[in-house]
Amino acid sequence: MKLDDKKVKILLKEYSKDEQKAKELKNELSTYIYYFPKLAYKRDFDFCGDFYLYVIERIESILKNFPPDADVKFQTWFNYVLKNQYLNFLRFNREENFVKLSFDDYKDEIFIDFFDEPEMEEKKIFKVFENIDGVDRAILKLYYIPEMLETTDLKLISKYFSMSVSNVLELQRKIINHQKSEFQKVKELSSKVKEINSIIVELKYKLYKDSSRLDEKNEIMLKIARLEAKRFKIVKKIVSLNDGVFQAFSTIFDSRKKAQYRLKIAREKFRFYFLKLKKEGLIE
Amino acid sequence: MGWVVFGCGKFDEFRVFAFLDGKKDLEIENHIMECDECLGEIIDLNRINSTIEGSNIRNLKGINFIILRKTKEDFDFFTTLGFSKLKVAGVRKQNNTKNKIWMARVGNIEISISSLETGFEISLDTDKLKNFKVELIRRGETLPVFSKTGSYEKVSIKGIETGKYELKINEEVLFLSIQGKEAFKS
Repeated sequence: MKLDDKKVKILLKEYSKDEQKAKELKNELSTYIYYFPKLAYKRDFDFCGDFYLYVIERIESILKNFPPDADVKFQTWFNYVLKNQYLNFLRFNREENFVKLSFDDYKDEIFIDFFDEPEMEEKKIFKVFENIDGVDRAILKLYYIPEMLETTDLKLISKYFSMSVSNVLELQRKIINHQKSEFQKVKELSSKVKEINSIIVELKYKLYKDSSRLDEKNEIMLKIARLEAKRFKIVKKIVSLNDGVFQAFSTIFDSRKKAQYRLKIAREKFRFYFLKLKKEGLIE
Repeated sequence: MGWVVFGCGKFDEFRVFAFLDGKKDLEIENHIMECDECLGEIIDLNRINSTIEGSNIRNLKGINFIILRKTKEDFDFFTTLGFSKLKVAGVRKQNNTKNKIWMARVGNIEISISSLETGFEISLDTDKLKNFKVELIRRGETLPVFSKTGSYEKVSIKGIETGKYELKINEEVLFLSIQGKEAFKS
C-alpha cells in the first residue's frame, strides 16, 4: 500500500482553504490510517476502527506539522506520526504491553524450513538464539524474520559484511517486501489449489456413485487427470516462490552458492542447539 | 514550525526521514552505529515502511466494515463498502438545522444511518426484496438487539446505542462500529 506522494503534497497545500480538497485529502488518507495498526502491528479490525477514529479526530492538527515543500516522502513522515499516535492510543487505552511485536505475529507468514518443529514458540527460538553466535543469529533473522532485526543484529551484519548501515536497512526493506508479496502469492495460489481439490472430490464422487456410461466415465477421468496436472503445476509454483527473498538475501555474499551454504550452516547450528537444549531439558 | 528532534535528539526528524528515504548522510550513518536509541527507532520505522509498502489490502474479500462517529453536524466514517455518501435529511430540527444521513449500499439493499436525539437509527431500503432476514447483534452477545424476517420495503431500527454490532442481512454480515462524539477525549 503506497500513498501518492505528489497528490498528497498538492492537497496539503490547498486543503485549509478548500473544503473539497480537505475531503479529498481525508479520503486519500483514510484507508491508510485504518489499516495502519493491522499492517504495522498485526492488530485486529476492531482495533483498526477505534484507532481510525482516534486519529481522524486529530488529523487536522497532525497535518499542520508537515511542511508540504519538505524534501522527504510524506509516507515516511506519516508512518512516524502514526506510530506515535499508535503508542498514544495504547496509553489512552492502557494497553502498554502491546508495543513490541512478537515472533508469533509473523510465524504464519514465514516459509518454514528453518524450524523443524511445527509449533515453535518465540521463547524457544530466542533461547536457541542465545546459544548461536551473533552473525549466524543475525543471518537467520535477516532471512526468516527481518521484521525482528534488532540494533545488535544490524550492527553485526554491517561489520561482518562490510556494509553501510543504510545498505543493511535497504536490504531489510527489500527482504520484507519480497516476503510480503510472496506470502500474498502463496495465499492466492493456495486458494486455487483448494478450489481444484473440491472439484476433483466432486468428480471422484460422481465417478464412484454414478452408474453412467463408460464413455462418460472416461470423460470424467480425463477431467480429473487434467485438474491434477494443473494442481501439480500450482504446487510447483508455490515451492519456487521463495526465490525473491533469497535473491535479495544472497546479494551480501559473493555468490548464491555461498549464500546457500552460509544459510545452511546457520540453520544446522540452530537445529543442533535446539536438540541439545531439548535433551538437556532446558526447553520443552 | 518548531524544530522537532528524532531519537536521542541529535538530529532534526526531517533529516532522519530523508536518510530513511535513501538520501546519503554520513553523519547520521556514523551516529547510529554509536547510538542504540536512534538506530532502534530507525530500524522500527524501516520495518513499518517496508511492511506497509509490501502489503496488499485489496484482497479482503467478504469482510465489510462500517465505522461511524457522530460529530457536531456530520459523521466521521470509514467503510470497506464500495459506495457510501453523506446526505442532508429532508426534515429540519427545532434549531432550523438539518441532520446528515450516512448512506451505503450492500447488493440491492441501501443502508442509511442517522443520529437521533437519543442514539442512532439504521434504515434499510430493501428495494422490495422478498423474504429476507435482518438481525442486529451487539458484539459478544448471542441474542439480537433487533430481528425481523419477512418481506418489507423498509426496515427501521431505532434507539441504537453507541457500540460494536454485527448487522446481518440474509447471508451478508457487516461489522458495525458506532460512536458518539465524546468517545475519545484527548
